[in-house]
Amino acid sequence: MKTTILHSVGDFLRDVMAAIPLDVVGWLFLSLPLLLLAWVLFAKIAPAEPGTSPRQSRWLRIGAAIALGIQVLVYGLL
Amino acid sequence: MSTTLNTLDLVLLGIYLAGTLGLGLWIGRNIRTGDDFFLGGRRLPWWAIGMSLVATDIGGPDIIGVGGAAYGHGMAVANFEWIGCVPAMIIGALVFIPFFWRTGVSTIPEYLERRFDVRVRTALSVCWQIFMACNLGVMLLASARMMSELFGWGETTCILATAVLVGAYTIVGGLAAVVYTDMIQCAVMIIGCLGVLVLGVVEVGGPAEFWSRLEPSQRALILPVDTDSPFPWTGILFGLALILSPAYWIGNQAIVQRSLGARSAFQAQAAYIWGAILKNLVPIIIVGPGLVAVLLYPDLEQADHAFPQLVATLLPGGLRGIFLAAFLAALMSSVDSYLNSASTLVAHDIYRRFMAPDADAQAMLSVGRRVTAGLVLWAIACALVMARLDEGIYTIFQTLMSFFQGPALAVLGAATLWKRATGTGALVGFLGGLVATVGQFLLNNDTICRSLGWKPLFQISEPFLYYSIWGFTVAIVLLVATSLATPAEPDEKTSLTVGGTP
Repeated sequence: MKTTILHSVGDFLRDVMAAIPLDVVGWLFLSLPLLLLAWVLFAKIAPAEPGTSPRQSRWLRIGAAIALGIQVLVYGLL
Repeated sequence: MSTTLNTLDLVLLGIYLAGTLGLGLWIGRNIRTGDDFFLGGRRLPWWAIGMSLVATDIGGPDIIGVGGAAYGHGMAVANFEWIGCVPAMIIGALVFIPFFWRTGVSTIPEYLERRFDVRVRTALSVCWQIFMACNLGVMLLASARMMSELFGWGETTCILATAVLVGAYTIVGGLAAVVYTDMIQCAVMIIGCLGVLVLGVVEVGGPAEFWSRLEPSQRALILPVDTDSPFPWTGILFGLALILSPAYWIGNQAIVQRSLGARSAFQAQAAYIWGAILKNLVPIIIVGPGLVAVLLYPDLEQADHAFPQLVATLLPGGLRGIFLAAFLAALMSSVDSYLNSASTLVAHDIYRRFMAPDADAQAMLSVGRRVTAGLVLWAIACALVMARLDEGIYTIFQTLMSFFQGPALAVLGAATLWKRATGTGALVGFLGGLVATVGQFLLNNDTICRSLGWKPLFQISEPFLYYSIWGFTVAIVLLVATSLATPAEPDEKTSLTVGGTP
């Protein structure tokens, strides 16, 4: 079976990825919802439209934090 | 493996179907204009849209297929509903969806014409239309096959009955009927699947016993690169979470359209966040039963029999009717959404854009209904033809149709986030990305590789997650290079980026 440059690139990337321990990968998966959660809680997010009240914005943050918090629990515990 | 239904099952099923049809037709009384039909008059509430988003995403075949995948590969399949949905929904809710809502467009391709030009709009719209039209036939056939297997009904009867039922309320009630019936369907789906899970876990001996009896590999969410399953962590993280999922939740017309029909930008955001909270529940109710089946029926010949086996052996009369209603709910909520969105794309991006720019609201309503009716007939014909072909053909066809998601995300991301992106750059990037994904598929095909004497490109089965990574990468490289080599777009176009004033 012949291989091409595409196979070589693919094999190289595969070897690199395979060398990463699964524990580290677990942290990578956890970091995605964690970073988003930090962004939702602490970053300045522009209001959806001029009439959006601070109370509405707060509710959006709380809802997003609940959804992401569950993700953090899932990827932290499982 | 067919399931026997008693009188109570049939009565419950009849009530559910009559209720869905009645609700859809009742909503249809208030549809007066094209805007009412395609966007629910922009009066839809967040709580209904959020549930509709979840119902649309879970099709009837998904309930059986995801349960089967969990039976075969364990918990890893839950990633599709967790990291493969929730992060993209939150980013969509806080960044992209309110932006699209404020632009006042009816379709995502319409936004791309305002941001770039008609070539980009048409290229993406045509791809989505072909995908949706084919997917309608695929969804009808896949669901009919499962209904036929589950309940012993004729395949053609299942195709016709589903198409007529869903078609009737979608043609009359448009997006509003789709969203409100989806809301009911979401609730029925959750109740039905939760019932199967609870009875299954009790049968195993309780939650603690259930969890402790699973093998570590069955409980693992993250699988190594060299796994036998199609879900190595690299594909899940880079292909699913970072590309396919944002492409789906931010760029899929069938998904985004209902948020464009929200009462306000805030309600559109709230709908996505409510949907994301509900999404966290979905793996528990559809992956869980697959894992229960591993413990109760470890020797099933086919993994896809896991869910039907639980229904046939665990559920008493009455509950089987509720599960069938849940299964039909999942099926109908996906078909109705794709019907409505495909007709929106045809009516806005083809009819109004090229054939009748001055079409009034009444004309658009009429066109929307006629196109939806035509799509119902098309889907029936498609399903009946595909039923006679080898199963592999429509599976491959569906895979081919999904190739454009990576390149489409590259175009949409650049359009919304990078002012220097140009129309020519977007078109070159999109087409180049398409060529790259199709090329990968061909170079991974056994027959082609054998004839060339080449080793297949990928080492896992069904490497569709990897196609999306490379499709996106090629598209973004070409898009950036071509954009920088072509004159910048004028200010009125670049103002249509996130943070600008649409």
